[in-house]
Amino acid sequence: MDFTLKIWRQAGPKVKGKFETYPIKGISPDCSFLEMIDILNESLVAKGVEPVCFDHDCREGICGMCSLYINGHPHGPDSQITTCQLHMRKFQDGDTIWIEPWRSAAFPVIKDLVVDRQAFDKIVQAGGYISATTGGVPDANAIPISKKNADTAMDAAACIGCGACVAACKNASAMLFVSAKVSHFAHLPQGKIEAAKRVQAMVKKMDELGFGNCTNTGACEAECPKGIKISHIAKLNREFICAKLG
Amino acid sequence: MDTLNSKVPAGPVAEKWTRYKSEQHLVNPANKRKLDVIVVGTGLAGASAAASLGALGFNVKIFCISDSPRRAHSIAAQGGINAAKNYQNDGDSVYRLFYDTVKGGDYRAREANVYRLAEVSNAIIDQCVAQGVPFARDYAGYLDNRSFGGAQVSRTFYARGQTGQQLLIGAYGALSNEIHKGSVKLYARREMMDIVVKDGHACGIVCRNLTDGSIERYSAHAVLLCTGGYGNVYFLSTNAMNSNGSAAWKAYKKGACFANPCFTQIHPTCIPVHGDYQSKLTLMSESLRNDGRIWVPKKIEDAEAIRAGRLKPTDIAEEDRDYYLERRYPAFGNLVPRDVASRAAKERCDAGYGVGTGKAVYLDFAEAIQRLGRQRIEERYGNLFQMYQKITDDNPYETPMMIYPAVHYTMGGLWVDYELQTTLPGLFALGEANFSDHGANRLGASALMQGLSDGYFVIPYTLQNFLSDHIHDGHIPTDLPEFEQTENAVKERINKLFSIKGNTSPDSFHKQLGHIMWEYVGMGRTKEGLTTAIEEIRKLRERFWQDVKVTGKADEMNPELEKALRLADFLEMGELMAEDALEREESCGGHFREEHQTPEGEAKRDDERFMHVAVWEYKGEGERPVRHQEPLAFEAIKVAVRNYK
Amino acid sequence: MTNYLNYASVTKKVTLAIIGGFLMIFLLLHAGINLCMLRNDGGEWFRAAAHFMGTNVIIKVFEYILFAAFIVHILLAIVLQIQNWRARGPVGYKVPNKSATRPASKFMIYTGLLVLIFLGIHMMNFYFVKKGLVEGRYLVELKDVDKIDQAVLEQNQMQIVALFQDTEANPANAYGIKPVADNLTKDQLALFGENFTAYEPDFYNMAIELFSNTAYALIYLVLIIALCFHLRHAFGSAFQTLGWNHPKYTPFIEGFGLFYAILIGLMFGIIPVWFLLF
Repeated sequence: MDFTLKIWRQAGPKVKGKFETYPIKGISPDCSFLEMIDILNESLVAKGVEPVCFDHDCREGICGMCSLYINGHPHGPDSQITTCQLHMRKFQDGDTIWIEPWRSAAFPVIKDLVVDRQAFDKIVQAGGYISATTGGVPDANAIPISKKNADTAMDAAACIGCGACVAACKNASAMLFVSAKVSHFAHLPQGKIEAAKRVQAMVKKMDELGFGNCTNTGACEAECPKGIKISHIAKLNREFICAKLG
Repeated sequence: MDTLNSKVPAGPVAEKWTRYKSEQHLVNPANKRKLDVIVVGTGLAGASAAASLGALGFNVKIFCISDSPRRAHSIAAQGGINAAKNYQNDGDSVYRLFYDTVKGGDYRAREANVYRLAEVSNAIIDQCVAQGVPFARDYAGYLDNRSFGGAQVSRTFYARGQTGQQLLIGAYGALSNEIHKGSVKLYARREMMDIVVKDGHACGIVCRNLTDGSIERYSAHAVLLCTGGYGNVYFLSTNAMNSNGSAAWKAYKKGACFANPCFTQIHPTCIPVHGDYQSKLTLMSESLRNDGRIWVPKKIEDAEAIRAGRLKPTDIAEEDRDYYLERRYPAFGNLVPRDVASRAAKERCDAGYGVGTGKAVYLDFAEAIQRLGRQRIEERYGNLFQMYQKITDDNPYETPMMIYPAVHYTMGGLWVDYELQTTLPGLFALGEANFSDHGANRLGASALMQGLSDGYFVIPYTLQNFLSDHIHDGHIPTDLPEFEQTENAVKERINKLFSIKGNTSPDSFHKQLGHIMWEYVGMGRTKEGLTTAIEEIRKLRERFWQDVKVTGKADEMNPELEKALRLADFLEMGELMAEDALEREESCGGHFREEHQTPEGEAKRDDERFMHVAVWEYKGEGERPVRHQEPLAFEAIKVAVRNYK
Repeated sequence: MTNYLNYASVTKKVTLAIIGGFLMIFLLLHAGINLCMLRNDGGEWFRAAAHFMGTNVIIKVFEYILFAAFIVHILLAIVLQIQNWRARGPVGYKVPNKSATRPASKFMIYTGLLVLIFLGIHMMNFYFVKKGLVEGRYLVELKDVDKIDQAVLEQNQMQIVALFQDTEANPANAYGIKPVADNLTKDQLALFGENFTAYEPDFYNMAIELFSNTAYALIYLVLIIALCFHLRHAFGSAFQTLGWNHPKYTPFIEGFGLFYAILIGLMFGIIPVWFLLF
């Protein structure tokens, strides 16, 4: 298959970037999207051109490192996958493919398609955990947790922190990410103890870092590679209201 | 180097750890504040160690190669984590977990370490549940288990097919808590370039800031390497793209001995290779073998027809299928340990019964779907099936999966004593980076257990024993000549790579290295093959230093430079692996020397000559490393031939 | 305002949602009153409703709450929107986002602004008349005639009687006198004297006059459609923001939101359509 790639190139955080056009030929439909970029990069290196920088690591859809905005979709046109799981068979031969970095004030571009997502870590550091230190905890079966709650907590905990929700949201809101964490713990008895403090601290940090406000458009849910539902955002709101009133 | 001292406490195996803990030295809280600890790596071992040490009151600096600790490759572990809870009342115990692990590792692990691992396994589950890890539960609300290869009990705790992720997020949460409290400082997008040694002690690291290319120095009273394994030496593996062996290799060159480098785990259930451009292999969790049945056609003509596309797997009648694992190993069936399952797949494919490209076997769920219903299967493996479908475009609910073995884990690593300290004082290795607990083959769901055991429950004790001697050292400045020298050496190496200005990209060298390693140091190893491998690796390394092309500059984000730096180390490491495989003239676990097998094709150990850990000491550039031995003695276990029949 | 900006995003959104909910109830009430216009009673019901709304004490208190609600809702929405634009960062996407979302949700600020324009026109046309800021049409009830200054009454008796004259022959009305003198201009109202305050704005006739203007009716219709879109997202969104999301009830809430938006659209929209057609 042949494609025309339009890729955002930006030499550094403070440099102005622009789109470059790279034609690429003879790509197998079974090739993954990132392997296609590997092939492009090999050809660029051969020509002495600096290859395209992009974040990637596990290449099996779990580390959350890959982060490309492809033809108007974070992680590309397929549903419930990360960029590394996207395959070229999802495109038509001869397509023009626009590849952009995540765009958000809270995720500044470092180079080319690589953005800085440490804002997510900062939100988690503000309270996205149960602050149990090592040791001195009861037996794992001491507190039964209903299967339903454990399952819902797991649904939320499946978040890989890739930032596609922020990238997709017209407001660059991080609510899906934050709510996944809040909801995960709020559904577990051991998480309820710090629930009120957690939700307020995380929302405060999220606001401070310059993420936008959620307007319930559902774009995040549509693009989340792990299928995390905006019902968790409602859960966050509920937790937040209770925390404020309580 | 003096003789290897494994520092295993005296006494019966079940009492060693208790005895150690009661006799070890501790550091009082006021002194903890004066002691700096560097942790390199933020996977299960690194994050749990940093969180636990931070909570104790040490000043911890943790270094992360990615943008966030949560991306470490522990996250990709799917199936589960073992613990001897015996919640299922199926006869499990600490001893049985210990026994299974030693046996699974083909009696090449240090008994005392493995027992300790089994002993703390239960505390890990308690800790994780307290942190909010959403393990699977039954309808009564209690924890659920499943079974894994090499065990006859159900002792594996799991969180859908994302157990590693959930455990890592738990550890990452604990770490984030400590970062918030200020006891741990996080340095993201940093790659350790070298270890600084002063007076024979590790006293800091030099690392490269991957964002802007600057070289930075950090000092500490102890350095913990939690940098994972070196499976990427094979280029194609289930490891993440950034996983590399450089940190361990630098440690090796600074005086930490490397143990059993040839012990590599080839995982039986990965999605087969499909093209030259492929960058990575995807693992399909071992848990699939709970319900999936592995087979190839019984008749060679059927296999040929399938490969040619004339027949579909569903066309093959039940009696024409060869469920070879069930046939060969009736006691364990599809749940034999990984090394055994991998070799059996290779044997069938080499004999011409492979499907797909010829390098694949079927993993079939038709029977399980019929027995349990599609919904149950979806609940258990839904995300794995989805992942498979996205990659291959085949629907595993309708047609069997195709799988083939791939490099997955390295049991070898930095040699450590009972305290997890390497032969370089002050340098510790945790998790996959060390060699200690899995012998020649790791059982499924044990890597997570080991990473967390080392980080949560071992190092917080043993490190204190070491640091108690250093409470008067005071802060170590980073302007010492040792730091200067190390930094200069790092810069020199980088400049050298840029100065070559050759024609070949690091990736294409890496692919060539991968081919050599897979071909000669893979699942079946021979004397000739290994000799060839050593020669070819040397030649390739020479060409690398003459012809590698590194684009870009040193003082910017430069993935090509990162690749070249890591590859330079892999090119040396590959040789040591082959060397070690050549010296170990026996078959054990994942190390299969074709000269040493039983008439039925099973691995044949040589306990007389090789019941020891091979410990390699670096002797300098161009010098042959020295192979030491740490003899293995089994007091609590009767050494036997592994039998899964 | 600076202080308010520091409130958590969720606090702002919850406030926005609660006020939105209040406004949605108000809209329903307003639309109900409007519908009285379509009753062929010469505006009797409509007038009664308007009279009630204009004079009842509780409603008058609510009027201030309503105003405050509108202002806070609008200001909050603008603040949130500016933050949202800034959150996108200095460089936008080249390819616009194609994520599957509800179309209505993407344009809330724009439909909101259209509704705001509508509100402005609406205030000019009606509310400011009531406040005496803008000239409109007025009505005087027959029973209030005795509140006219005696001197004025004597002077303008003939003209005032003429205003109450029922021009349409009505057999039931033997004297040909209407209970209300409506559609009075400011000049006609002057006949009742400077001290006469017992008049009310004649919303019915003002509305009829406006709707009789085809351009106005069409603009009104367009703005009502904008309101519909705004409400389409607003209803479900308010529940979501208030944390009410449940697999069992959310589909109903979403469905009801659609029903509500269409209902409000029909209730308001049918009036200009009526005038355009008949």
